[in-house]
Amino acid sequence: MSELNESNVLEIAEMLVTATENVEKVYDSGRQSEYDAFWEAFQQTGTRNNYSNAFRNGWDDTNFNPKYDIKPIRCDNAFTNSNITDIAAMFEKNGIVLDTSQSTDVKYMFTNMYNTLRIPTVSAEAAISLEGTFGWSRIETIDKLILRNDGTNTFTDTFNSTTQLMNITIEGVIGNDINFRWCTKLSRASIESIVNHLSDAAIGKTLTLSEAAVDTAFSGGQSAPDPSTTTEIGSSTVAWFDLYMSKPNWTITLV
Amino acid sequence: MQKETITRIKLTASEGHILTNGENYGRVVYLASGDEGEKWYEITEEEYEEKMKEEEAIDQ
Repeated sequence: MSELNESNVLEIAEMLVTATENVEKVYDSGRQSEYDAFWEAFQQTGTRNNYSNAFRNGWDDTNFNPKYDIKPIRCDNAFTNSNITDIAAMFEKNGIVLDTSQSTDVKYMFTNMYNTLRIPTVSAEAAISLEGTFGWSRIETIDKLILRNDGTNTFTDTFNSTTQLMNITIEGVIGNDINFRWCTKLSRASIESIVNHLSDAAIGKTLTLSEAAVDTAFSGGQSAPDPSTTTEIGSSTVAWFDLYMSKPNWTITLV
Repeated sequence: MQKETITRIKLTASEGHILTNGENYGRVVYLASGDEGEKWYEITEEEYEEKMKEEEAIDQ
């Protein structure tokens, strides 16, 4: 047996450091394997296209970490009751996308999300009904809602009780009754986006907005005075007047 | 050159009331051009709140 000397001690110390590093590598490798194995199976190696109820109940920032793009043909109730706080950020972090452009069912997709603040772009181009899609949630921002260009999407309870919604950008055409009465914090830009995407061909349709939201956004435009009788009109008042007058085929209610 | 005159009627509910046509509601209603508003009538705010509770209970 060799004598223990300084050289031996140093050699042993280096071996211990290497062993520790290897244990960590094995641990990390194991975790990665576990992650890969789970998401490979869950997302069927990226081929899964039915995400109905997929992330419903119990999913949050600690376990929602998808590996592949999510491109469903069905995603009804996909995130109902989940607690993921920023879905958009998670997709961005993982370098993947949520692409619902082929989804024929987006009903109740984000219902009852009480901790989710931001939703990425959602396309309803292949769907008809947006029943309950964002309802009963505390969502603050919807990056973009892409609608069909033929105006045939329907909006039953789409924003029912979505009281915290501040920001939404619309693309496509709103061709049926749509109700934002719960959205008291809707920004001016969002209200403008909504009105500007109302169908020019619709007949007998109604847009409902929160009176408080319009009042705040247009600084008292809710009682927009008749420009012909008012000598001094704020630019915001005129802006609201111009906005609702731009869609004369729509009934617009404030409640 | 095109010249148009666009007229819209604005209805405003009385104090403590909400306007409805049986389907939609509003304290202020900007009617679509050409609509004279015959289908709109007032309900009390209490009736409106009750109606909304019923609808939201059913929806969930």
